[in-house]
Amino acid sequence: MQITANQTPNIVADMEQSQTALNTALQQLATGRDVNVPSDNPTASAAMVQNSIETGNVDQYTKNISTVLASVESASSVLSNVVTSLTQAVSLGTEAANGTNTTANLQAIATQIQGVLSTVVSQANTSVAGAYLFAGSGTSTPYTANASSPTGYMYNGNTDQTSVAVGDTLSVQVNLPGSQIFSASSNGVLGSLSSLVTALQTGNTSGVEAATNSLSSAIALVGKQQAFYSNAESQLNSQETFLQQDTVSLASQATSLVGVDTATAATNLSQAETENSAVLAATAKVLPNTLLSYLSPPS
Amino acid sequence: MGGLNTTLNIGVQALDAVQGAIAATSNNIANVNTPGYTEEVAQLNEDPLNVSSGNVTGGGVTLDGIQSVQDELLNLQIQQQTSLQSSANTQSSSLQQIQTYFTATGTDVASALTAFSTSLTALSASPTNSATQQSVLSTGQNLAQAFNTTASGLKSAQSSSDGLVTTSVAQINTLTQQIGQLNGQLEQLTPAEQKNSSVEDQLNASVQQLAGLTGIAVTQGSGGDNITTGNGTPLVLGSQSFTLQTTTGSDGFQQVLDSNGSNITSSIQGGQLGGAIQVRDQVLPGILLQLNSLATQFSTSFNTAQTQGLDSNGNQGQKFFSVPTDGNEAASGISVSISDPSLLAINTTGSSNSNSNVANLSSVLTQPLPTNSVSSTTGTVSTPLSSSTALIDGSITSISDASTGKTLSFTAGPSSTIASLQTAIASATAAGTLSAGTTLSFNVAGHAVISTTSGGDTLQVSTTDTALGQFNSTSGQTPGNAYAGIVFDVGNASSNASTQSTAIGKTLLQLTDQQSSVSGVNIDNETANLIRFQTAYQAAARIVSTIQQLDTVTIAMGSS
Repeated sequence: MQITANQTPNIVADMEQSQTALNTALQQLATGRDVNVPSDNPTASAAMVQNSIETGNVDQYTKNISTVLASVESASSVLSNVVTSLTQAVSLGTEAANGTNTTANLQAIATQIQGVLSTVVSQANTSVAGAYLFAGSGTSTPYTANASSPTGYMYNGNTDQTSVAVGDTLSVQVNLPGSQIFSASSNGVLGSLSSLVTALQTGNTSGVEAATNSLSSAIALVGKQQAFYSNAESQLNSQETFLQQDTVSLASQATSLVGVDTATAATNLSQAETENSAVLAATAKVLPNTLLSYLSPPS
Repeated sequence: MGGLNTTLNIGVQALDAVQGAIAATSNNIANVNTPGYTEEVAQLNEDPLNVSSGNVTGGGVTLDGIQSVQDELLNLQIQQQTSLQSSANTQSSSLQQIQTYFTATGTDVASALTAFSTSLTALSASPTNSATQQSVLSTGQNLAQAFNTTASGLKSAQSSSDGLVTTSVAQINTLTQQIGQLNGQLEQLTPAEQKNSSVEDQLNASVQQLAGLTGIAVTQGSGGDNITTGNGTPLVLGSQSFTLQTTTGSDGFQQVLDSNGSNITSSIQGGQLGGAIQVRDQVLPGILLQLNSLATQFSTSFNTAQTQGLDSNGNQGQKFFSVPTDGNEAASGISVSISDPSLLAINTTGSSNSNSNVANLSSVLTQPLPTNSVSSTTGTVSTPLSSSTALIDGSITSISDASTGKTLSFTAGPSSTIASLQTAIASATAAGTLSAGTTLSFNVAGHAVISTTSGGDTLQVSTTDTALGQFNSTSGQTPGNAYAGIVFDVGNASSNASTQSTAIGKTLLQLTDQQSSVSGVNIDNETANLIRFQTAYQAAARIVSTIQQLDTVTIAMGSS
């Protein structure tokens, strides 16, 4: 038995190892990740698949919220305008019903109410980004004038309700069909306004009173629908806040799964460099050393 | 009597012996870098004593021979570890290669799933936006392509392993032939010659190389090394070598046959050959199976959601993905079968503005994947079918009448109706109509469950391709989780193989160290020996010259 004569395999193995460590440290610092292929950390790689799908979804949920928030907000403000117009119509109706008005006065009020009616109809026909707010999922103008309809207007939309996905298990209903808001019954918003106009034009004072009363209840109904939109709005806003937090926590999860701390990576690199030069220096010293170096050459 | 001549003999013998030792040392130095070379040592022996006139003098030295220093046990261990390491290396390099397909590159399945999921979520908010609809179609195509690319990557890794099987077998045959010949040469030598023969060194080197190719068991006989594979298939017996053969198996891959033609593929372990077979027949098929399961189940699930809804034209939704009938080709052949974004089944109400089916489409990505059910492949017509009944998902590719045994193949699509079936059946069986109670066999492409009702007539085919039963490894998981599982398996297999390779590499290094300290050449030792033997030679020569001088003196005594 003798001391290992040939050190080359050992030295080569050492050099390879230190070169590998150097490459790894360099790659980690360059990519900012310590998991670059699945074998680096199978568990973290598997978790990252889920993480990236969730991150993608959360981004898209956030975009969905900003898309639908615009329409929900405008629906809400449209309804509050409608309430204002209707309140104005009620006070006009009350004024007309007090029995002191001349026919000419009533006609003038009728014209004003007619104006309110057109305003309300045009508000019911509001569209945002090419889509009607109150047509269900219909694509044509929700309300068009129609003499045969008791309300004077025909609903062209449908009763579809649209729910938009804003979370993995959360979708928010973002519309109400116009038929539910403006023409729920013949005493709905449009019906009452039409009857009020007709009663004023014909000077039917009791009719004016009845129409004004039903208009008042219609206001309460519109108020309820407006509350629906406010609810949806606040739901969307709070979901947006939640999604922002979720984005942050997903990002920090990703960092902890596959990211590498820059300080650690830099330390690893400098350590690997030192080791590598040490191995190379040792190799340079050991390899050429044999007894022959110390024997005087034969004279 | 001991005299000057005896001493002269001792001197000459010493010269001979030292020359032998110097020759051995020079040979050692000359072969310091020769692979497989083992150190030679000159065996010097003291000669019998000379007894003369009661005086005992030494008999000098003889060179008994020059012997190689071998440790057979170490050699065996090194062979075993070499087999193991070579197997691990082969697996590791193949798995490293396929790993890139599972790395987040933007074109991998995970990224494509993310994009597909995102585009569906966007569709929820803007169902009528044609750009959003088109993006669902494009991301769907990317997803199908990601499946295609990954599957073809796995398959090409499989076929390169297959190529390695063929080349390994060829190399093994060359080596076993060589070893047989060396065994033959070794048989011709005397035992003393065998101990110091370059043939022995060559033999060891060849056996070592063979161990790298496949796991072997070596027994040493009088006629050299007898070698079998790990499970006992003879490779070399004395000077005779047995050739392994390869033949294309039913799966299209090369099978290894022994010299009698028996298939020994599955019993081969270790070495490059064992590693290649392991990757080709175990590791990669396992991953492909999961990927195919995911592809079939995901497309089934998505197609079900799609066919539930109505497209923008108000028609029943068509299948979104099309998957080959053969489940083994599912991932490599999956494609998007619709090309017009208006065919996306966005709603259930018929209003093109409604997004009421989008939630069903999206939920495919968050719901557990379905199980490919395996059930009977026959269906019954319960009542005569209306001729206008449409086969909505076009799954039926052939139909046969049980009473006549005649089978019809045809292209069924969304436009195929029962009428076309009836016409087809009529021309084949002359039965004319499909009447109630007729038992039919259906050959169903894919795995959809068809239930078509029209005017009270029901054609129910609760059937799937039985072959799909094996593609169920991802059932019950969400698509994301199922794919994450595949990524884990790939990463784990690859990291195991490389860890194993590193660990065995360390053992091997240690063993090689040991072998080198037993059999290797240490240049310092040899240099010292050279000096030692040089001095000995000079001294022995001095003996000869001294005796010569003494002889001259003695002769001169007589002449004066």
